[in-house]
Amino acid sequence: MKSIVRILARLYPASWRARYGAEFDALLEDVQPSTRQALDVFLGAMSMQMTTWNFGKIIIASAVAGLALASIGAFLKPAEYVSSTPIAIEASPAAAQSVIDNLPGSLSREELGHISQLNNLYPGERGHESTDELVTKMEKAIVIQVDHPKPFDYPGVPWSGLTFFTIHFKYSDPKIAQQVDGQLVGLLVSKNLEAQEAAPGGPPVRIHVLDSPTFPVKPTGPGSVLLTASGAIAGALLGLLIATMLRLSRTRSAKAG
Amino acid sequence: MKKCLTPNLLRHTVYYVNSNSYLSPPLLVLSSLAEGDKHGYAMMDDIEHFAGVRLGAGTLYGAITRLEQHGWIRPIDSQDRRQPYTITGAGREYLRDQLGELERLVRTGQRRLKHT
Repeated sequence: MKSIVRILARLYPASWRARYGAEFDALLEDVQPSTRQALDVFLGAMSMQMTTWNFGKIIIASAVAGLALASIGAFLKPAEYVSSTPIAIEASPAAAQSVIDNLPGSLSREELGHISQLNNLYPGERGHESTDELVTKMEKAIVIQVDHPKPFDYPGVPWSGLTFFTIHFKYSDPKIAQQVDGQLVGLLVSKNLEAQEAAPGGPPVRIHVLDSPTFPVKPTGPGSVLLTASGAIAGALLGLLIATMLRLSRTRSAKAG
Repeated sequence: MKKCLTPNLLRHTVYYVNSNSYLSPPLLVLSSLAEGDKHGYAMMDDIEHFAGVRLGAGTLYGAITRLEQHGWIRPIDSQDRRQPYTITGAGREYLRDQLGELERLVRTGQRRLKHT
């Protein structure tokens, strides 16, 4: 660690090292080397570099730092695939809306836990997270979206009196995403049948599964190129802000002096 | 029992300087040098002793650089590789001003607390 701290001390500007280098090295010989010390020396060096850099250099350096961080983020970000199943509800608009509104609550945590276990979802987290936490994670991966398709999207489907929506499931593996989405739809259909049988006098609600769950070929979210470019732009903007603040601070110091 | 102002003032001062990242290390260094000339490592030990904060080498030398640029401290002759520093007259004046402001803040706060 001592040698790392010594190397980091070389990151200070040459003019600063010419004045303080010897005594700073002497201090580093005395202090207990640690990760905190190394980080402190690194930040000190960067801060001192900034005081000697001009406007353009700060912006370029920040853009490069943003680009590097975003590239690492893009590389580490796990891919997510979304499988979708289009569904139509045949019922009065009010009854259909009520089904959609109650959908998230109609799938019990026990049932979701069972599906999670059946498909061995989130194997990396299984060791250190409780079933409850895994189910919460699963709930967040389920998205219910009301659709307004055009008649030619589903030829052969009787059009009038139908309310359309889609059940999406997001997961890191496309095959499992498709499998789970299908199981969620199956669960929904069977729950609706049970509800109809339990209350035969209630308003008739029929659920039509319009298509099988999609197999997601491409992951969702911004691609690596877009992420990296965004990082570079964000870095440049941050650099612009830092450079402006430094310029203001230097102007103020010069006036005060 | 009547509470002594000095420990409270010191505690509030340390809190204030800790929460103000621009002012804190230079003020701590000046406070340390106000007691006598010291080199970097001795300042680190002294600051840790009176403020409970262990400054990193980078932070300490960032403060030393700024203070020397302002003329508030200056190096003194030494045969050792470890460079001792001394506080200048302007540095004492600056430190007095800053601590005076803090003292006013602490007194105002304490006075208002007594009324609530």
